[in-house]
Parts: sequence; structure tokens; C-alpha cells
Amino acid sequence: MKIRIPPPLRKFTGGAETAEVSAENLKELFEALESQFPGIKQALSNPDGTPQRFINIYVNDEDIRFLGGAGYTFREGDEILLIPAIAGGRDVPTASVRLLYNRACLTFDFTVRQAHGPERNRRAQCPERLVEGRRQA
Amino acid sequence: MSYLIHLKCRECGRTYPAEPLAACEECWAPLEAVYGYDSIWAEVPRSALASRPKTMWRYRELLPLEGEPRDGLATGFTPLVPAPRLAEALGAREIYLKNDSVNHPTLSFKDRVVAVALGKAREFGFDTVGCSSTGNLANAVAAQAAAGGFKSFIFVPADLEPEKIVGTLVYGATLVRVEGNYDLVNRLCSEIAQKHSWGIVNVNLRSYYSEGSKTLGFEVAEQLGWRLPQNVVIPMAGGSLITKVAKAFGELQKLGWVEPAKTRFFGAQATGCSPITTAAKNGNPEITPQKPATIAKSLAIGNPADGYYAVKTILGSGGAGEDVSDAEIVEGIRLLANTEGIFTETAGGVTVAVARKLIRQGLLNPDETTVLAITGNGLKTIGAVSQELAAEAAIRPMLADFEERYLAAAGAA
Repeated sequence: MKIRIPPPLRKFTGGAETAEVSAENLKELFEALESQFPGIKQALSNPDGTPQRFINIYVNDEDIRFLGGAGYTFREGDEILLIPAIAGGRDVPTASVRLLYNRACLTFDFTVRQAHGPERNRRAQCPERLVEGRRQA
Repeated sequence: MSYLIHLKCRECGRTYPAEPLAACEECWAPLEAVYGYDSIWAEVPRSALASRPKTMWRYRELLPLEGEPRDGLATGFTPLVPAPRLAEALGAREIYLKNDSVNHPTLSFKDRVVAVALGKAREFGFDTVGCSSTGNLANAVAAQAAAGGFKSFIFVPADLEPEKIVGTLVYGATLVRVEGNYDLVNRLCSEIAQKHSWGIVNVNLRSYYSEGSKTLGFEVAEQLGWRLPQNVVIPMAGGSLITKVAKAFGELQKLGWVEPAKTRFFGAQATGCSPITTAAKNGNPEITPQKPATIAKSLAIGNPADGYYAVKTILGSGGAGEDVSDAEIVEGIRLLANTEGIFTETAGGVTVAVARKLIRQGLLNPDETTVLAITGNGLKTIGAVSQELAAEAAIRPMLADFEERYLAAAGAA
């Protein structure tokens, strides 16, 4: 059975986007994945073995909860898709530069705030030139 | 001007810097924007707002932009309308309508969230934005993306109302119609957000986007003379709006901008897509997803991302969840139009009909102040009522024809 691994879980799979597992049901699926990719089970399921609330598990094109959830028996050829209920990538265009820059501004702002106390209100601004550059990127 | 400190996981409490990140990397739970309330309290008196323009940006210290807003500058501060005739029809003492059906620029509350999301998209450097949408969000993203110079990809269920399709395409957006319901559209968007460096407003920008919904709550409080209503009835699709209005009321109390007060939150859905109200009625926030089948397409989310928190908000406030049939939704639309002269879309019909049902059931106290959130415009879902409202055949331009047809029966001729 083929399982597609979303980016946030690929830290457990060494970057692999898909995996082959054999499992009868959801509980076995978590175990089978854990034996291949230690640590992944905790990210997918609760201590009692039920799926984590914020992960949606699809079998082919159907949410497994419509198929009986933990009671569903996988069939030959099923393809499993794991999708966080709310996906969020950190990817932004030329991420490194922008994030470092934004963070620097933010950190600088906090420093200024601490230094000046309540009378602060002189927010450290990113130089307009750079802000403009970011905007047009 | 930003007082945003960081994003914080709603479940495990782990914090993240303000990046385009919507879910916790450890437990997948949504991330919540956290502000320096002490600094706002010390530096921004409520009176500072009085001289600001009447838009959602008058509450900018409680929104997550780092710099000056540039998108949706005219959005928000929609009318809070007293609704005495509706109140009389429902047997209630005092009802107000928060009328986001006239929001700028696309006539729904989604203009608020998009204004914030595009501001963040700009700060993060995205040149392309998008969304998965049941319609109103599609319109809002397409319009504001056009005004802001962004490219946009809008993903919608293939069966969307024609008004909302045209109301997206006209702005030059790329509209991607997807076979399947919203939940499948959203799944596709999640995969796209993981692969492409785009600002998908309700996916990787969701932590910021959803903050825009708070402004509806801020405005209600300010328009009531800086006090909180005893009850609010709010339609629920993904469940975000109701949780964010609750957050807004909490923030206003934290800042001392309103007297502490308890507001009961009532969540409204269509029976044909009622995963959140069903959970609320069961008294358990765990959501069982549904396959939507309702004319209230803007609320047709069977697997609501914030459903769990919406139920907690409702139950924790002493409110309730209730749902209504398609026929009741149409009645709700017509009742609001007939009593208050406001033509809302199906979601607004849901809200009005649920309020009526809750009052009849004794769950909503008719002697208290209640605000109904009217979140969208009836001109976008004409089909929901057009069959019932077919115009009569034309008459000849003759007085006799007119009197015979329209006055004779009433005995007035």
C-alpha cells in the first residue's frame, strides 16, 4: 500500500515523499510506519491509538472517517494520503533573506521597547527602501 | 506599529516567530496570534480610536500587520442596525444586525480577513495569493488581489453559484473549478500550499487571515457604545468567525475598553451541513465530518478546520448550536428582507432562522440584547429565492389593467 507523506512529516522519513507499508487497519498502519520511521507515530496518533485530531487521513479520495475510521480494513491498491487539517508551509520567496530581515526588525523593535519603556512608541521601522523591495518581489 | 509578539499553538503552547505558518509543527493544531496586551494597554487608550477613519483598521494594534496597511483600506465598520420589526416578529425585545452584507469591496465579512491576509502576503513577499473558497472568500481575494497588484488563483467547488463565479472572474483572477465539495477543494489547496510559494490566505496565511474576523466583534462592541451584547448568533462554515469574535470580546475586556460581561455565543448552520451544531448538541467538541447537502453553499464545509474550537466557544459561553432546513433558510432570508429591508444570502437566512428557532426553544432569552451577524449579500445567491419570487406576467400600460390585477382582489378599486 502506498502512503503519501506531507512535507511536515518528512523529517521522519528522511525526506521521502512516499512510503510502502502493509497494514490491515489504521492501528497497524501507525505501527508499520513507526517501525520504518521512528517517531512518526506520536505525530500521527494519540496515546490511545486514535488518529490525531488535526491530521486528516484519506484513503484514495475519501476521508477515512467516512469509511469507518479505525474499523476500516485496507484493501489491495489503497493509496493513503496524510494531510494536516490546517496546512502551513514556512516557504516564502527567497525565504532566508526575508525571514532573517523580518526577524531582525522584530527583535530590534523589542529591544527598543525595552530600552525606552512606556514612552517608547517610536517603532523601529524597516528602511523604506527595503520594504519597497520586498513588496515588489 | 505592530504589537504582535508571536504565534502560539492552541494545544501545546509552543511558540513560533511570525512567519507564514498556520499549524503547529509538533501537534498540527492551529496557531494563534498573540499580542503584547500590556503594551497596548499602556500606549493606546480607547479614546485614540475616536479620530481614526471608520474602517476595520481603527483597531490596527490588535491586528497582525508589521507595517502600515495597504490593502482593504475602506473595509469594515459596516452598519450595526437596530432591528425592531424583526425583533417583534421573533418576539424579542432588542435585536441588532451587524450588516456585513454591505462590506467593502465584495459585500461579505470575508473582505475583513482578506484585507489582513493580503497585508501579510505583502510583508512576506508573496506575489501570488489564493484561497479555497465556498464563494465569498473567492470574491474577496480576487477583488483585493486585483487592487493590490497580486496574481491570484482561486479554487472553488464546481457547483458554486453563478453570481459568485462571475464575481470572481471579473477581477481577472484565475478561477480553478474543482470537481467535488469544499473539503476536497481545501485538500487540494493544502497540497498546493505545501509545494508552491504562494500565499494561500486560508491555508498558510490562516493564522493572520482569521485575525481579521475579530474586527467584526470590535465594531459590534464600539457601535453598542463600548459594551458587549448578551447574545450573538453567528453563522458557521469552518467555525473561525465565532471563535474570533469571542477572542475580540476577550481582548476588549483585557484592555479595559469594555466592562467585563458575559456574552453567550450561538452558532448557526444548515441542517444539510451541520457538523459543528451536531457536536455542540452532543456536548462534545469532537467533530464528525459530514457530506454537505444544503442551499447554504457558503456554509457547506463538512470538515470544518476550526469546528472543534467553535464548539468549545459555544459550550464555554453557555450558548448553543442550532441548525435549520433549506426551507427555513429561505424563510429567514424573506423574513429579514420583509421586516428590515436587508437582503442577505443563504448564510444570513441561516442566522435569522436559527435565531427564530432558538427563541422558540427557549434557548435564546428574548428579553436580552442579541446581535445577529449578517455576513453576506443576497444578490450573490439569487437562485435560493428566485423560484419563489417569480414576477407576475406584465400588464398592458392601462389603468384598468392595473386596477383589475392589483386592486380588485383587495377591494380597493
